[in-house]
Amino acid sequence: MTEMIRIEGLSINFGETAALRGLDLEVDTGSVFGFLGPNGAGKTTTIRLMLGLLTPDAGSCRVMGFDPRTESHRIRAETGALLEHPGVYERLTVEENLRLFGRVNRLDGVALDIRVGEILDRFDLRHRRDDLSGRLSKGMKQKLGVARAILHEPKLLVLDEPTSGLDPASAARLRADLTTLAAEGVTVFLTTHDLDEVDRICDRAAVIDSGMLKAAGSLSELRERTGSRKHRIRIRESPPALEDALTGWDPRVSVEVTPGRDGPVVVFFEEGRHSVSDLVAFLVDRGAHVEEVGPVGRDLETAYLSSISGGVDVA
Amino acid sequence: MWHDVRVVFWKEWKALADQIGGDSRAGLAIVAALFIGLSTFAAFFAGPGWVESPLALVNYPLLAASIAIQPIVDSFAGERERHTLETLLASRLSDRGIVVGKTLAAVVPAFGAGLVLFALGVVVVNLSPGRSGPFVVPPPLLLWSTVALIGLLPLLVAGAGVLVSLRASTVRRAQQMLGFAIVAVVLIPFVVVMAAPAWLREEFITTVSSAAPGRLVLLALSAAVALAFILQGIAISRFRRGRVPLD
Repeated sequence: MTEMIRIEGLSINFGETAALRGLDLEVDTGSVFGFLGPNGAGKTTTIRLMLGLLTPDAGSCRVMGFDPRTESHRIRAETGALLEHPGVYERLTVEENLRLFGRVNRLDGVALDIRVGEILDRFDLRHRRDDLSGRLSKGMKQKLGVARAILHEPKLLVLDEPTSGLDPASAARLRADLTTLAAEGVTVFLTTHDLDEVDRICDRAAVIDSGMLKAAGSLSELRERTGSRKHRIRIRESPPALEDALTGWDPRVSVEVTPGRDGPVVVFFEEGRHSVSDLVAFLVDRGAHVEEVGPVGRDLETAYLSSISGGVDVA
Repeated sequence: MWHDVRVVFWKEWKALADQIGGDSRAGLAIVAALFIGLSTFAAFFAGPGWVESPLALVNYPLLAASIAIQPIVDSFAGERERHTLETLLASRLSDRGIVVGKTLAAVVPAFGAGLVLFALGVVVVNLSPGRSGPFVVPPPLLLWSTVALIGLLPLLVAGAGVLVSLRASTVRRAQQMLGFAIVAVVLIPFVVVMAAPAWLREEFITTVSSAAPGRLVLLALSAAVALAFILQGIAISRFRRGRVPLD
């Protein structure tokens, strides 16, 4: 797979504040890439640098092989962007907004008519085509912003929190659209706070905090590498008063009995003072029949939170 | 670049047309009535001197320039305020296309309105009290110089307005900054003349009053052309995406 975006050691300061500090990032062509981070982490600054709206103090950035410092016009020609705000012209109608950006992107005549029609249908905007955009709800404006971004069939789609303000049905439809676009070869670079969204549609993701990359990789890599050190131990027959004995041995142990009184016991344990083998030995000494030992399935939220709280782990 | 200029021009015009036909209709009608009323009222009572003397060189270009102020301060500061500037900059439009398109969208209506007011003034002076005789029209040099200045002065204001609007965080701030700049430009020559030694001041006044009117007109015209194009050049060269302050 070829690279759509390659960022190496990118840094920028705003006065005394370092907004990005040596950021490295790679995004493959045709992938859906999630860019995660808390507010003020540097996500929007990264997007602005990629599009040539800011000039970095150090490092390099290549988008589609072009340098945003000198060839940003070539990047923007092949990119559709929905930035922090929907950026719709409120004094123009829905259709006029689409036509404006069609013309901006050199579409005209019949080709423009056809494409605007397709987009109005795809985003269920046809019945609002003559409404002034200023009269649309926040969600509808967001939808129009996304529609405008994909109007000219860009190679790269940069979306800053695209489902923010959308109702669940529209958000689900947009996610499906993004997946379809990626299947058609469009690279999608999206920032979001919705980890579930990343889990559903992204191939790879990166976590940024305080202008520094904290983690990057496929979602499974992120889960594995940045997850906690929790283990799950399944016991078939539980000796009496096991729970009390375990919590007395190590307070970080929790016990869950499922599904019924005589069913298996599941012990959750986080390594620290004791290792998982210490726990297994403890259980066997007390007559427990240990069936299975394994790491707890790590979720993306755990991975994200552990990344922004100080860990650095780049795949 | 001209494709981009046309697109930006179209966008600004659509927005203006919507304003005229939409919520701002009443406000714009009042402003238009004020402009028409004041200029025709003055022309009616001043008589032919209003359009036959160098006063025309000042009055109508100034009216046209004042019409260009609002759209030009709104050009970047307004887009920034409405959160559309970043989207515009993230598009494939060229830097020059954006600046020239926005400048023309402010200058063309101002030029058109200035010409209409000037023509109206010429008609009205012919209807002024006690008027008789043939239809009065400004002498050719004055006529064409006034027409040229009606285009040049808004262009000059637009150049300054783009520079101000690019830096201002809000439209209100841009209006204040441009207002100060215009007052400074008008007052500085006056202050310089008044502060000059008496002999120099007298010499200056004698030279100006004894100069041929045609010469003065050409001088004013040349200065306006030079300033307008210098400011436009600065505005175009200063506008670089990577340097425009965003939110």
